[in-house]
Amino acid sequence: MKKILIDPITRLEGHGKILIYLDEAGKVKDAFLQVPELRGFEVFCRGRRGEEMPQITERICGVCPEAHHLASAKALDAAFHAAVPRAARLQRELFYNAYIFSDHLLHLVFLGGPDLLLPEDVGKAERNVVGVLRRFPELGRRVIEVRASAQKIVELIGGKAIHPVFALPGGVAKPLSQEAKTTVAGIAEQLVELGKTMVQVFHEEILPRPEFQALLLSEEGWLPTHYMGLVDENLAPNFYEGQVRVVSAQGNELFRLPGEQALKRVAEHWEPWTYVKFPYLVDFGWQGFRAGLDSGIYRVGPLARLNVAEKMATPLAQEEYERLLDFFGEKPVHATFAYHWARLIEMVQAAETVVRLVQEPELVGQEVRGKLGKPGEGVGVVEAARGTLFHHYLLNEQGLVEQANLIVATTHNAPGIGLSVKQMAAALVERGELDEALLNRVEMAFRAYDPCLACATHFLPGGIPVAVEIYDGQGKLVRRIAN
Amino acid sequence: MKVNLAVYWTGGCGGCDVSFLELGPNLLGVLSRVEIVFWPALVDTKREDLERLPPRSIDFALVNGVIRTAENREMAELLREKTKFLGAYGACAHLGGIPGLANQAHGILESVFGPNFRPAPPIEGYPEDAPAQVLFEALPLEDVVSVDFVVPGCPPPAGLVARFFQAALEGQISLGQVFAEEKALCEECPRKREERRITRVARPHEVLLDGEKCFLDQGVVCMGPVTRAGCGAACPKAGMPCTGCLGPTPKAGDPGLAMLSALASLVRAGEEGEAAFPEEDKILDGFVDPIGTLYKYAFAKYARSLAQLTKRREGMRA
Amino acid sequence: MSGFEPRIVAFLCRWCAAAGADLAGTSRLQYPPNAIPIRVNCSGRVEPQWVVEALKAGADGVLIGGCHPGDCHYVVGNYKTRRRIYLLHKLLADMGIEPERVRLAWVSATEGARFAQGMREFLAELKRLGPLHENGGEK
Ligand code: SF4
Ligand code: SF4
Ligand code: SF4
Ligand code: FES
Repeated sequence: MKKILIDPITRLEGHGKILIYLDEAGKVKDAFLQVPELRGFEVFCRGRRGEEMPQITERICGVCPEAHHLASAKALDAAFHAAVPRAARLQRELFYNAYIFSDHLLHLVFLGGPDLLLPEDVGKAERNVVGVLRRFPELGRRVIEVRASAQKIVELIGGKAIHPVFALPGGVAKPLSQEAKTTVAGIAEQLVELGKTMVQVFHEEILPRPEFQALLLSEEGWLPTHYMGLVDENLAPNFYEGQVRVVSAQGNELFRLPGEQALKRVAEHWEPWTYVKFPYLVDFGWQGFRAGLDSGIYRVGPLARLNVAEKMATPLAQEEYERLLDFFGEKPVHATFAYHWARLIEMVQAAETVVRLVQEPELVGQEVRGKLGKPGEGVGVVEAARGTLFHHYLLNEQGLVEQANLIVATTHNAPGIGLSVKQMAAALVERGELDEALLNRVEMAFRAYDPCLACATHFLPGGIPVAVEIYDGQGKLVRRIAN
Repeated sequence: MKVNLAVYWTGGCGGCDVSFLELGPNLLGVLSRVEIVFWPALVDTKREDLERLPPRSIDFALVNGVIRTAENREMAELLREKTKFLGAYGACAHLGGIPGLANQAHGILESVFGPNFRPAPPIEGYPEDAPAQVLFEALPLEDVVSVDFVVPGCPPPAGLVARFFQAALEGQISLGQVFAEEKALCEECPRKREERRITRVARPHEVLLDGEKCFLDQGVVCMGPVTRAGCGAACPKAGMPCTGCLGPTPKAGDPGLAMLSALASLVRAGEEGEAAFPEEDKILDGFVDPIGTLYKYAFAKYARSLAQLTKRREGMRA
Repeated sequence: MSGFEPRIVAFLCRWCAAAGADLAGTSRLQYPPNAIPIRVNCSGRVEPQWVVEALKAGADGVLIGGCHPGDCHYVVGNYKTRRRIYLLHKLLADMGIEPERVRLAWVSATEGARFAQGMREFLAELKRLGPLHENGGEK
């Protein structure tokens, strides 16, 4: 048997290895995405002061600290039975949309960007942000500038651009000054403008490329799973709040529930060869690593959110959403590479939402702290850039954390990512040689999810595995290794 | 001539990697003057590319993240061998950071895995493919390799990062340099200090915070007095107390004990004297989660060895 | 723990506790020789860092001896010390170290017997707790 190892997977947030095993005939026997990192947040969060959790848990991930910060704050709102005053809610929501914009932009141009914007034959020394900047100097410069503006909004409201500090149970630390609001209003429009440019770039530089179209429609990039995401009352995606909606691989609603109830519909499976866990829908149970209608595997993130929604919340995003649906002609869209496109659409929605929110007069309201009740249990859920994020805490009567449980976006996607990697590897090996560009393809399959392994490695695997089971594509047990 | 740069992320959150982007438009200037030889978040160079480099061929390496797994340690050692100046970038590498709090929880780690747990490879016959062993302790970088300089913060503030690049590009880094101030954060904090007397320990969510007054005057623990300046007092300006991410001033030494001492000096229940003891104790009882408060970022560096005395002695405790 | 002889570091205020210790010595009052005494000008000078350093360096317990309330030569030094030790106890407990290993005692210059008695009690307490260091502190 032969083995191919890609280590570390580059241009993603965190650590990961892809292991591909071939059989005697040279075909892919199995492929794994291994996450060899582990930090143990859920363990050392115990005993911490509840109000510190937004600042502690955001250190799970420096790419999406805003998501952890607010999922945590929302879990605390619930744990303290607090109503968040409108001014505070507006601050949080504005901050949050600026983050979604900035994070998506970062991925579209710098992390996934090299895959999208550069021809495939570009060597690995060029296949990175520097290569993108060299080929698209004007765009690159603007992206850096506008991203800095978006980060400025995050910083003005959150206090720090990375690892913000402003959220407290029941609200935020201080009212937003008129001056800060004016600054935000002055830069918000740039976000929409860049959003439009990115749409144009997508339609001129990326979508027309035959290789990209082939990828979008390829079999190895097609993975029928269920989808999860937050929606508002009009069934449009909402990143900051709403109900958790899950639709099946056929597109019908499986449930639509508040976070704390939705959490009960998810369970997790472990394997001893990786430190990331594998969630699945309890309604279906764990059916092994395979996609399909009766599997419990679901996906989250940009594409998932578009699949669970019936429309977008803002006009420009809606236009682009319709173009995507026209292109595929069916929904749910199961094309993994459409994650990039969905990311673009969401980026536009986030920009438009920033512009809307900054016009709200109450944004500068002075009342930013709701009254707190006795501490107890609470679930907070937001849509992180990469997908649904749950924080679930139990506080004791002193407001210290007794238990913390977190399910992060990349964890939800871990089974799907593993499957996409394997599909891609199998297809490529089937077609012949494995050279550098082809290896990059495998990574591309993986990067489409914009996986954040920093997020996925916050936890400790629970329980002691007694056996390792490996399933084939039909869900048949092909190997069992007991320890 | 361009300066060679490697950036690597061990057991961290990636915020340090992203912090380079906070240089904003200046980033382009920096990128044009450095040659990135290894940086997994940005360029497609792999570990074997790094292994092939001759010793000391990298001018500067910035390692961020805590040392959490055997693999983290190997990579730190590999980078040390290939690099002239190796820096701890960010609180995790510098002090152990927030993941360093895990040192408090060894017993739990052990009890979750069980005494016989061994990570396994996905397929039999490839023992090397088991995920990297998690180390017994989460360590700051200096505990596994010698560290030449520090860019502190969680993540390092853009101003300090810029200061580092300037020094690096001019070849002006001295051994042991910490890219932050020696003075305390209080000295760059705009909040008004009055008597600094704590008559009640308050937690930020329990009180309506005054936007102008020093937190300590409001009874809220703020690590400003023992923390290095350099971030412009970002947190106090944003309405929240400093929690110490830039690490202690040289004068403070162990930041937790220095702050503990400062707090004890500030607490007052009326006239000092025996009659005030019960009231003083009540105030001090309001101070909860001492480890999380005093050592949010610095537990691994300063308090780990003490906390481990008990664990080692009694074996693993849940 | 048979044969376990706890090691104690004692920070003694020279105005009171240290004098009390001397008195205990000259009066031939029996108190165990396990303590390494360190004289300080006032208990208020004892930094928590020193106490922790002593524990890290191999002590099983640390005693801080200061003047009775109202008697401190620096008026409030011992009050500050009391609050520091109160907080330090919380921190030690959080780290899983028995707070009883750090003891604050008020001893005047004339209380030789009280000092000897206090030492014996502390020693008994530490014997009950057992060694702080895994190998009894041997490096
Ligand atoms: S120092 Fe802070 S920003 Fe840097 S890796 Fe550690 S937690 Fe993340
Ligand atoms: S203690 Fe905190 S709030 Fe007060 S001056 Fe220092 S940094 Fe500012
Ligand atoms: S105020 Fe303190 S915690 Fe906040 S960034 Fe500055 S040093 Fe770090
Ligand atoms: S002088 Fe003895 S305690 Fe202050």
